[in-house]
Amino acid sequence: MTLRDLALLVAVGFALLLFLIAFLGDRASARGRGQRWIASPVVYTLSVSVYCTSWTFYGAVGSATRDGLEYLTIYLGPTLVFIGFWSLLRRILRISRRDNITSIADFISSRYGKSDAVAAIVTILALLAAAPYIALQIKAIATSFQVLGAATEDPTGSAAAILDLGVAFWITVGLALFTILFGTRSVDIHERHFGVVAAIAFEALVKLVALVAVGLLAVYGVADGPGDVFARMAASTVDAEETFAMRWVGLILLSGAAVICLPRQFQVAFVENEDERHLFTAAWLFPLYLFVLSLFILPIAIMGQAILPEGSNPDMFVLTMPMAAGRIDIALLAFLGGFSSATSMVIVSCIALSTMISNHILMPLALRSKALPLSGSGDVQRFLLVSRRVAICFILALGFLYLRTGATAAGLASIGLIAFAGAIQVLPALLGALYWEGANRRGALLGLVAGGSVWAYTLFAPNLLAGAPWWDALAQAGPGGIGWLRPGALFGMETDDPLMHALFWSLAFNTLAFVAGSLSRLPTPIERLQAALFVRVFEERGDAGTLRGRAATVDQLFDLAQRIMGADRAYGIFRRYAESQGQASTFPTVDDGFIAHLERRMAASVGAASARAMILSVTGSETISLDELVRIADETARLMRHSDEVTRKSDEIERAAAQLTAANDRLRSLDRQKDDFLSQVSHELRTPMTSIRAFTEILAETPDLDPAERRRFIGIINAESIRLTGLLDEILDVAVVESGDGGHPLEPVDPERALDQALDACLGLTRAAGVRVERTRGTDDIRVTGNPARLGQVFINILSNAIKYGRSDDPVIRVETRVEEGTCIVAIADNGPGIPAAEARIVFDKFTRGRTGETVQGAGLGLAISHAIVARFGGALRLVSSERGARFEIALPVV
Amino acid sequence: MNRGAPSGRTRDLALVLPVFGTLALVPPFIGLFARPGMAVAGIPLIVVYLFGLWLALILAALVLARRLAKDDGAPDGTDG
Repeated sequence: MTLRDLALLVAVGFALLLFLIAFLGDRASARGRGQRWIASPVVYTLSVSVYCTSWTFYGAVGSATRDGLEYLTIYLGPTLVFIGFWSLLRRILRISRRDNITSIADFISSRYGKSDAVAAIVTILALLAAAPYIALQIKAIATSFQVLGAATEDPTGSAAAILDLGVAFWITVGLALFTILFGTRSVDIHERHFGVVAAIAFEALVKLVALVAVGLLAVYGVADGPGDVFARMAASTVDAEETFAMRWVGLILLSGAAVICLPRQFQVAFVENEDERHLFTAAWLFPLYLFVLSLFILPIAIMGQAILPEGSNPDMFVLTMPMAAGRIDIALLAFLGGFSSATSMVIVSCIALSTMISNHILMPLALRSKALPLSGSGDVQRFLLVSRRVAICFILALGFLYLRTGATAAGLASIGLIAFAGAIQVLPALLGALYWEGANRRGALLGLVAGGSVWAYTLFAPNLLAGAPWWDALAQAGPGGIGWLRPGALFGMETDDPLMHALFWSLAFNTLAFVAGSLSRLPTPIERLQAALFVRVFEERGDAGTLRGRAATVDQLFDLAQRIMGADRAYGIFRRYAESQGQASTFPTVDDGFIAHLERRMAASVGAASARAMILSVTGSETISLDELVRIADETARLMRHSDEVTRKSDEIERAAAQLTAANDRLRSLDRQKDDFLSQVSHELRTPMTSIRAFTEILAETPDLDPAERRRFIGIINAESIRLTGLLDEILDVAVVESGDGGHPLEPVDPERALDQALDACLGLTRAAGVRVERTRGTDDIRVTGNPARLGQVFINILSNAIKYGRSDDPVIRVETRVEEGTCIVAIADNGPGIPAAEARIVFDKFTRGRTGETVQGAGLGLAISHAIVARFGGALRLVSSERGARFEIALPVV
Repeated sequence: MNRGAPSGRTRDLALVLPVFGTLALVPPFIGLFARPGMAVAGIPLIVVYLFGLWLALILAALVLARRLAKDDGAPDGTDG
């Protein structure tokens, strides 16, 4: 058995193993078991690693050999995107899962008003870009076969420089069969392929193990440790001047964009995703996977150059280096790794692209031409399956044809980059979809067409058509002899790097057309709605309205659904929805919610645009009705209300904060008053105490004091003691009144009489101060709740205050009484300087003394005591006016 | 503010990490390490820098993702 036969046997055996894994995976998920291993974040990450194709497995070593560290850019770009998953990937994933998105074309068309045209253009662009990429995989597998087959006579692999198209053809056929069996066994309701995901995750492991094995062989088998590897390294490999220029930046951007925009990456990362939280693991595990692969690529490239003869194909070092080292087993493992990388890419790409072709090109065409036989159950399903199988064959045929033109003579990496540049033309539309509500269908269409055309003209065509005389003439002189339109030097931009040239112009035109197109008209209602649903995905509340008419009957809808999904599945969806509506019957009530639900489920099979077209064919409302516009308006109004509410709440919080501040200030001022009062009280207690002490000392130390003197001193001591007692009484009084004043029972009191008595008591004071009292009686024989002694105390207090503070040239105190609504009001007003507003507020607080700038005696407790007493009577003591003199009003409830 | 939403600082870090990574990977910054002839234990400095930085970014993403996953209680939450 030759090595080539052995390789063939291994490849076929490996393919069977993959089938087994896919079968077990499908069965486990159908039974709802095995969720733990299929639906694990590690499997998800490994499936995302389908990013690493044979371009990585074989081509990266070739790239590292030719261009040094440049190969790292292809893995650094995705690393940056994944470690920044929180802002971009999570957003796309959330939307994709919410709307049952089936592909990148579906995602973008969904955002731009569920437009058929946008979806079709994205599909065509993806298909064009995929052709060289798939050709690359076929070439890699074919070449690896040839290298192994010729191992004995040509261990350098240079014979494989001439591709055997016969081998390539049969590989293409094999891949087609393999993919059809794998990916189109059924039209899955969620467009998810558990078995395929399990199989490509396994292939990802094989890739990793194989490359690490070859890498370890290079470092420790061929060389003598890492130091030795770098000692043998050619200086050009890490030539910094060459590497770290514009191209380095451009390639990081390109690969970072590609890891989202490539149809197969979108498929595994967003469509096949089982759980949003898997992204949290992939965010670091996928970069780690890339890191490990990249780490071992460099030593393989260095040692390949070191031990293989001049002229060996560096793209095959991964295979030829182990052979040259005499390790056939590792070479076979490497072959398997290469086979894994190529097949997994082809399978997933074909699944993703065939879904796009059938959903966005064939289905809309069939719907429009009415060619679709919509007569029996599951018709659409059968149509989809057949169209997908045809599409897979078409895609692979395209890849093979691309290979046949000989356009893939360049290294694997440079072919892959052409595909990348084509695939990322959706980037402006994609980012606009996620972050710019103003982006619309016109902008997306113009951008995609402009970017795609420039890419095709400056990169795709030159690669494909180079060698054809008419093209070469055009490339030399420019179309129609117009020099500044030459594909290699657009607008005279001469460069030796066609990739960067094409990347710059295509993205520039793309973005410009996208922005200009979007700004050129206002978005339509459905674009506006979808824009809000995409851009504000994390603000979503409930089911924002989708726009359907309500003319459809449940029978019509069921008829439609069963054609697309088959009767059983449609029945299940209808019954479950009816249950959720709380209906006893099998069929739900047709409302907007149900139609939107059904459209989403159908979109999972045929894509958003087609599902919408079909639903519209039943519901019959092509334009948005007034009702729906009202709903959109309602939604807007609701959002605005919400924002008003937020504003109002923050106002409330501000007000509360202001109140707190005011209360705090008041507390501080009270605290200050208390301190002031304490120091004043202690000062006033101290003064009589000091004099008492001084006189007692004199009396004690001077026994022969003259009796008259002695009597005078004792008189002073007595007077001071009385003052001291009075002071203490006053302080105690506050405490007593405040704590309930138990000793003075409430009884009916004649207020006029109490007032007369108080005025009599103050007669001495008024005369001494020369104050005139004007008394007005406004009541007649009434009684108020109170206590005669205490009420008298209140009146005396306020009167003496008025006498003390009401100083003016002609002091007058007006005393009035009146009855108002069951309340007797006694007003005592002076015509002095009045009480400033700031003090009026605190005049009834304890420990407040005197009016500004006045020196008066007493502890300043009078008003506080009065206030407390009146409050206990169930009345109120108010300072009513303080402009032209102070006016106190004592309100007392009439019995 | 939603209950269970990741703390603002963690989210800000998650936004900044790729920006930082990009700046560290492109000229002119990377030029500081692209010095021919400089080596660490026989390995060229630029190789050590690139792979070291890469590993550091992965570790940072690991820590951030763990923290965000812990905070991000419900996948259907309405945080942003």
